[in-house]
Amino acid sequence: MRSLSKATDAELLRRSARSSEAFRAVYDRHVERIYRFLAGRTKDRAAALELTAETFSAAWLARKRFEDRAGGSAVPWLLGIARNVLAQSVRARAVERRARERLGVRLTEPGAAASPQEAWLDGLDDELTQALGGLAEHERRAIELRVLSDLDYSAIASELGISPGAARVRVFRGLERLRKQLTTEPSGGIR
Amino acid sequence: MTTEADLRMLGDALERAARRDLQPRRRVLLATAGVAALLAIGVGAAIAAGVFSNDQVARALPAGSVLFGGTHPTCALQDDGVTYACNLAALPTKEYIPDHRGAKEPITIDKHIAGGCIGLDREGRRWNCYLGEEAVKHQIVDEGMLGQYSPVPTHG
Repeated sequence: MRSLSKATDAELLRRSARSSEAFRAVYDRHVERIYRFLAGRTKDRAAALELTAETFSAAWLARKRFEDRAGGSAVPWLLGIARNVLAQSVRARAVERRARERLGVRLTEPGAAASPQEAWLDGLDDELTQALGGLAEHERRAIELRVLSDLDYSAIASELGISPGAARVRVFRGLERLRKQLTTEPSGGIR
Repeated sequence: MTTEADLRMLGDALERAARRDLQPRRRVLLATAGVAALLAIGVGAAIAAGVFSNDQVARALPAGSVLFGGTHPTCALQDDGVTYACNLAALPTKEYIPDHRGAKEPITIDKHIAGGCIGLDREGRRWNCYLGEEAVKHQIVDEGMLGQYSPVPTHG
């Protein structure tokens, strides 16, 4: 078995069925990206911290349902959860914290979080569409087939006329590019 | 406090909560062994090293974990005042663990979880054991486990 530092996110999430340390490794790898994404949307440090806590609490509760669709990376999955948490908070007009409360995760007081506002979602879908549009056609198509159509790599390979290995690489690279575009650091970064 | 520090503390809180969340598996095992209730008696706050004798701690090993069954431990409180160095006269055979280094097992005194031990060697002969909060500090047991009623040794 590979050490925690060398394991892929997908392997760590599988191990986290029985290991809190494995999940902590996933957290340590990606928490800054998720926080930056949420801070960029909310422009509010306390709200971003609370939403980050909720995102990872929800990820812990859902970890056994994780499906590796991104070449071992959990980033698209975590970003999807963060987007849902953000959207739910805006819909309910209160920072979502059901998963965190269910798990009993206590935060040190980060200060009063701003009330969720519609503005947090402004351009969220446009952002995704724009990011997808920013990919090369061959990568966008590969991601659509993998993520939206839920095809396995053999089927994607057949559809695109390439080998399954090449299909996997294409999806992986496309998702990496997508992730970078969607997690652009807000001004100031982490302090 | 910096955001980086906040995120690190959040990670710590999340990991503690995750560890707690994994505990029901062990509780189910306890329940199937006939435990009807879990009783918190504040052992975490009350137990300190030195309060219990070396012999009491040695008896706490097989009382706490099936793994220590038939191993005839002896323990000695070390100069640091918190570590009980325990040696097993017979190697563990009740549960198969390929490498006992870093293995963590709870120990019970008077049928309540009082702390835990961490394996020091591959074969499982040497263990360092801690009581109360010291066991929590060494991440052997969770705060919530301390003091729970556990009348029979637990399986891993």
